[in-house]
Amino acid sequence: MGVKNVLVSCDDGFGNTGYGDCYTDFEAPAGIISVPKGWTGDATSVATMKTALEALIIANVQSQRGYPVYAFVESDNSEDDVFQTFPNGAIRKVRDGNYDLTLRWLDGGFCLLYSLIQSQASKNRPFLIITKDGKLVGADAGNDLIAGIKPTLININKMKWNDGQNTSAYTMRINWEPSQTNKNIAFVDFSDDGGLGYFENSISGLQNVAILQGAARAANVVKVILKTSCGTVNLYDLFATELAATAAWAPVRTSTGNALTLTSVAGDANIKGFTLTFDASDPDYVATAGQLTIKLAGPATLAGLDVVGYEGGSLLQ
Amino acid sequence: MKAAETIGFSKEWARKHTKAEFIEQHKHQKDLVKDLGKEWEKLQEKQKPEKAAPSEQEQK
Repeated sequence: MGVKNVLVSCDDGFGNTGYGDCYTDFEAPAGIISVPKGWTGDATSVATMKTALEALIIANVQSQRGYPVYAFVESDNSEDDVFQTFPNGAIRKVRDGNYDLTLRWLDGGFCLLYSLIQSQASKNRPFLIITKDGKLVGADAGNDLIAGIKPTLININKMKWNDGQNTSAYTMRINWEPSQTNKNIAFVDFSDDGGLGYFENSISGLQNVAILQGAARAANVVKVILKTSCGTVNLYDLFATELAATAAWAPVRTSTGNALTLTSVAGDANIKGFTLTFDASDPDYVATAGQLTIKLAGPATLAGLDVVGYEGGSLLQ
Repeated sequence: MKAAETIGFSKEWARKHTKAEFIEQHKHQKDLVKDLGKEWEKLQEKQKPEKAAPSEQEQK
């Protein structure tokens, strides 16, 4: 009988145990970045990785976006390794116990919890771990690539109420098979390139922006007000000039989804909003109420206009 | 903030339409842009292709 799929010789399966003065040690997790399934990054270059991450968190397509969450380990309920004891007293290892961490955040509070609960599609997405000492930890994808860690479970825990002695708790639970971050670990060390500070300052989640009616629609002219969904900051106060640009908006006809042409966008100081003027001669334009779906351009497009860190909702007019 | 900074016109749309159409389309913005005709002209100017660099032969 021929032997197929011969494994690497056991003679080669040794790791040398020497180490230098500067050895790798991981500090506590300080957050995670949920990444798209199949995402990989170049683990050989911090600069390349920074560029990739900065593009990832503002990707226009939600399913292709990275979602960072900064949180600390509230509790470690990781499973012990599983062993079998035989009648003769011998013991053999059956499998590794899974990691099982509960992460808790303070900044972001319920706003962040609510966003994560809403992100049903992001459950069981791969994730990268950010450590306090500025390492980005993932799984080895071969060819010097780092991939997300595939979870067995990501659960956004329900809010725990303030009981008079303790603040309300917002937490999530992540569980994963440990070989991904042990034998098959891949990590990129950012400690000499900003460390954790880089992540916290440059790799932030987007804020949702609600588009509200500023005044009743008058034919092809619509007035809107933009406010962040959590915290209700009026974006006119921050980006009156930047958002007074047709490129910052992406309105569509409601019934078809076809793009509509804007001929101008103007800031309106009276309502702290914007006046959108549509091209009534656009074949996709119709005067029927509800057929104008007002949307902002995608986050990457907005970032190109110096409106960084926002994603708009929609408004029917 | 200057008024000119608070309105952004579509250059593409302006290029495809006459001054009269442009003025008609944005007449509700007269408070913000007093001379819409001049604004249209400025937008047309921005659309003009830049002068091509003289060729080596021309330089000689």
